[in-house]
Amino acid sequence: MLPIYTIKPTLTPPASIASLKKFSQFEEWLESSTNDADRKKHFWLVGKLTRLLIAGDLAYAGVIDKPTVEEMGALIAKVSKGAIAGMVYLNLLPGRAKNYHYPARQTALAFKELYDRLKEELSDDEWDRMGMDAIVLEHSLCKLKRMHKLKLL
Amino acid sequence: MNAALQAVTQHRILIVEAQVYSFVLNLCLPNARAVLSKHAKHSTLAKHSTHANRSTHADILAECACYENVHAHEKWLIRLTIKLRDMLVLCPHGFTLDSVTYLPNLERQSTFRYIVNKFRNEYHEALVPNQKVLNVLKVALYQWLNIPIQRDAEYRCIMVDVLQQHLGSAVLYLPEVWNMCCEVPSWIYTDDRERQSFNMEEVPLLDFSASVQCLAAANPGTRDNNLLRNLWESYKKFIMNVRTGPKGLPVAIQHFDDYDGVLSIPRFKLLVDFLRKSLQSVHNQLPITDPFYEPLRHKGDFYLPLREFAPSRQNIVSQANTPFLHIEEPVGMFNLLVFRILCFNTQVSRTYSFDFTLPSLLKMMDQYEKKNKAHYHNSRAYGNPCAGWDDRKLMERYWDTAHSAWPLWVENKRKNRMLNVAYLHY
Repeated sequence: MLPIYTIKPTLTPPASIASLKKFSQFEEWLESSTNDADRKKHFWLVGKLTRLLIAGDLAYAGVIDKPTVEEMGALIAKVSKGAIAGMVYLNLLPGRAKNYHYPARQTALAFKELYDRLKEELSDDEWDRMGMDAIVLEHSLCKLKRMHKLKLL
Repeated sequence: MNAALQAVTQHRILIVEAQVYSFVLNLCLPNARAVLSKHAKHSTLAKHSTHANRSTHADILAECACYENVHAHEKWLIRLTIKLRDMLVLCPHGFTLDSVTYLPNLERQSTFRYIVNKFRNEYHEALVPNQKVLNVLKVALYQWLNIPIQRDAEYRCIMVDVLQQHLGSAVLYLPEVWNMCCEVPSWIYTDDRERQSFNMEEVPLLDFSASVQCLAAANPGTRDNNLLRNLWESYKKFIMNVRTGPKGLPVAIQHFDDYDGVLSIPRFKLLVDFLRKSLQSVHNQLPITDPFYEPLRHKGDFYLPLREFAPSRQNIVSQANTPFLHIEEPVGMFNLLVFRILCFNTQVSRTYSFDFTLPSLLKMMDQYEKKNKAHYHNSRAYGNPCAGWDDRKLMERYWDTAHSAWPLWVENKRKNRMLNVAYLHY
């Protein structure tokens, strides 16, 4: 077997090399292994939200990179579940029908705006104690709408 | 350009608000009077509901206390009536209810602006819970007026003049208008409080045709043929637009690209408050009597916004043999799948140690399957994939996945890391 330094890759590394650890890339890999008419895919029947949860767990475990805020914003648009409802509640996105696909770019920008505002609002101590990051903020947005339904917000 | 547009929009909003409040004045008062007269024997206000004496806070409380058996929406109408009456008294223009509707347009606008500010300054709290009513009234107002806002002055005056001339103050007591107002409270208490737009079909229709026929019968060969024709045209437009909503009205959200989402500050504050309270509840600093605490304490997995503090997550992370220690191994991944897919938001996820192998998992499932399957399987959690499927077979499949696809991905990642290192050294 040749030693590593004799391997001569191309000047630009293949996308798979650079992005395999990327959060969104991993989520895409899970998605591609998820649903199949012949039920042959590995993660058969795993839903959008569960994929996001598993990817989040692996990010915290250090197996993949944590998502950037924009990356998570785009994923929120893709999943289009509770976090979107939370953002609509906050007036960051317009209300739409259930099956509407929100554009990733606008959603990411809105999510970034919220993230930045929250960082300004919370003290550093609170921020750290909450363990706030893009994953937690997405999680919080889902819960926001649920609490609102209970009329506690 | 933007500033000009903003100014126009702002101006338009003010006009809309003015119309809404005008509508409230016109519709709620007669309806509230009816409520009052229904309970007249208990009421002192009913006898003096149009008197121009300002009520004190104590008067209002005493008045509301008379209506123990009255529905909540009726109470709201009573309170609104009292407040509106007070406002009418306080208004420097000294107008009466009847004069509000028929004031010349410009004067009306300034008067309404005064009312709007008055509402904002003094009765803000009273109005907040009833924002939905105002929205409903706005929709109803559009339907009632049936005219684009830009042409409000022209058409509204025509309609009001015609109706006033022939029906007088009875306009305010048209049965259709009356019914519409009575319908409002049923919308206040719907569960779906967040519905942004209203189904136009739900808004009771106003039968203008009856009014127009009545006018025509009462005035054969009237000199106001033009006015009647205009009224007919308005009515036709109303029917035409009834499904799609009145055309020409400013639509709140025209297109996604045009949507300039501005963060709602009050709601943002709610989010911040929610996060802070959740942090307190995690550290048991929130008083148990606070109702806010209940869902966070009993259904943390479902309601707690702080992901890392959710009970199930706390359980799996704090275990000595947590699967995250060896997550890149098949067993680690299998346990993560079991945790998130099969057991999430169940008793097992909050109490068990996640070091399952396939046989031990099947054994655990056997143990509870007949007694209480909900112990390890919550079919409502995140659209649980096991719902409706044979979860045993699914778990066998995931066991295979954890031993085939996952090691492959991990291996690829390692190779890529080596390639990356080689690339950097190259």
